[in-house]
Amino acid sequence: MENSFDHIERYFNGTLSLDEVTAFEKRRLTDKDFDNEVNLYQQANKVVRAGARNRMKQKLDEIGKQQEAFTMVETFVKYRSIRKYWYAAASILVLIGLSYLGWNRMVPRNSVTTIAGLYDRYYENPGIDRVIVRSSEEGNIELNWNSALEKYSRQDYEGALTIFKSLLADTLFTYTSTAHFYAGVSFLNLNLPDSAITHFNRVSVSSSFAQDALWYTGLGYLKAGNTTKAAEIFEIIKQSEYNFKKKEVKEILKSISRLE
Amino acid sequence: MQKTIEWFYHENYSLVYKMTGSHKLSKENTLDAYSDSITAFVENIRTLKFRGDSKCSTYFIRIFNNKCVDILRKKTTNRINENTIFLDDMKTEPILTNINEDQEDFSGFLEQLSEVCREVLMDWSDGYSMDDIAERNGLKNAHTARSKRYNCFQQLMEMLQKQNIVKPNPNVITDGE
Repeated sequence: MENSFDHIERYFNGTLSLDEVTAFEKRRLTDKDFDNEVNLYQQANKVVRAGARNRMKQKLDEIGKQQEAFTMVETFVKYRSIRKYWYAAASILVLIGLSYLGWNRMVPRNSVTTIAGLYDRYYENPGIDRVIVRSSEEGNIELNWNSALEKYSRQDYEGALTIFKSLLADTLFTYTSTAHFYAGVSFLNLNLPDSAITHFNRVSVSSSFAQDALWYTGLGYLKAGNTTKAAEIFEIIKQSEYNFKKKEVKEILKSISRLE
Repeated sequence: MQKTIEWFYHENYSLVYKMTGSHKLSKENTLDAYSDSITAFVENIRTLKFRGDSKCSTYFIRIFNNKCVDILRKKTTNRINENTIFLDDMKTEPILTNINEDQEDFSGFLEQLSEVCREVLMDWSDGYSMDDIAERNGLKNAHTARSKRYNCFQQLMEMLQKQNIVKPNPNVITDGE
């Protein structure tokens, strides 16, 4: 039987010689028992093969379940790590935002803590280079005018004011807007902003000192502590089509709103 | 062999996602089709049905795709059947459909053998060497494994003979029977 089994196996493995194959097939046709044995071998082989296939399928299904579990864990870990990074990124953004806000509140740009500080930042004493100094030979008014400007430039504001006032009282004096302007500035330097504002208001709108007078009026109100009036004046400058102090006015208005 | 199949399984696992998406199948169904496809793929290589006309990967994807389509068809048919009552079903017992020879349920025969017998026979069928079979099943050596395999196979053949399921060859010349 074992020999016959081995013979059948060799036939199906294809290891028989051509003559042996011919003899094998001839025997199958004539020997019923042998043919039955061959059929049994084939059937048994099919049974084993089907079993092996099922076994492989079961193993693959198990691997599939493991892979699924692994994939789930992997996805979870990925999700967790991504979420962790998102939290970190969000925290950093919130921190940056809060720091920016805090910094802006604590140390605002161009920050001035008092009105006096604001005034000091923007106040510049106007020079007399724009004023025509008349020849002393022309008369008494010219002499006084030159003397007032000289005192002004030497920061003798009281002396300058006395002369400006006398000149302004003289009907023959023609540089009234200029005199009012410098008188106003002199009053500002003497810490008398209300008087200064009165003189600035008298500067003619057609004068070349009109824009300067408006600017110093605003500063005058600032010096007087009247931020509302100061803001009104600066707003006029801001709205005007052209003014040499437009840029400063924008800054000063922001500072005033912060101070308020 | 087993390691290679495992490697193949993991290597092509991304196809499961692709097929799940393209056929709109559940993950469970696609996984089932995937392991079925690998089994069929290995079997086709073993039985030389795969002739190497196309790339291995192409061939495998085609098998996998067909398996998925089969599941889809089965689902569609089930859906139709769920809503249809046939007169025949009402009159008679359900008729067993003709099972393809390759898909016959042989598990009963193998179950009657001992576990070692089953494993030795299946290992041999999977193409393991006698040395490997001996090692895998705790047998002394290759010679013992060979004897074991022979005895187990004989047991199986006897079982089949008792069940009388082997059809006689009609071409066999008999003495006037």
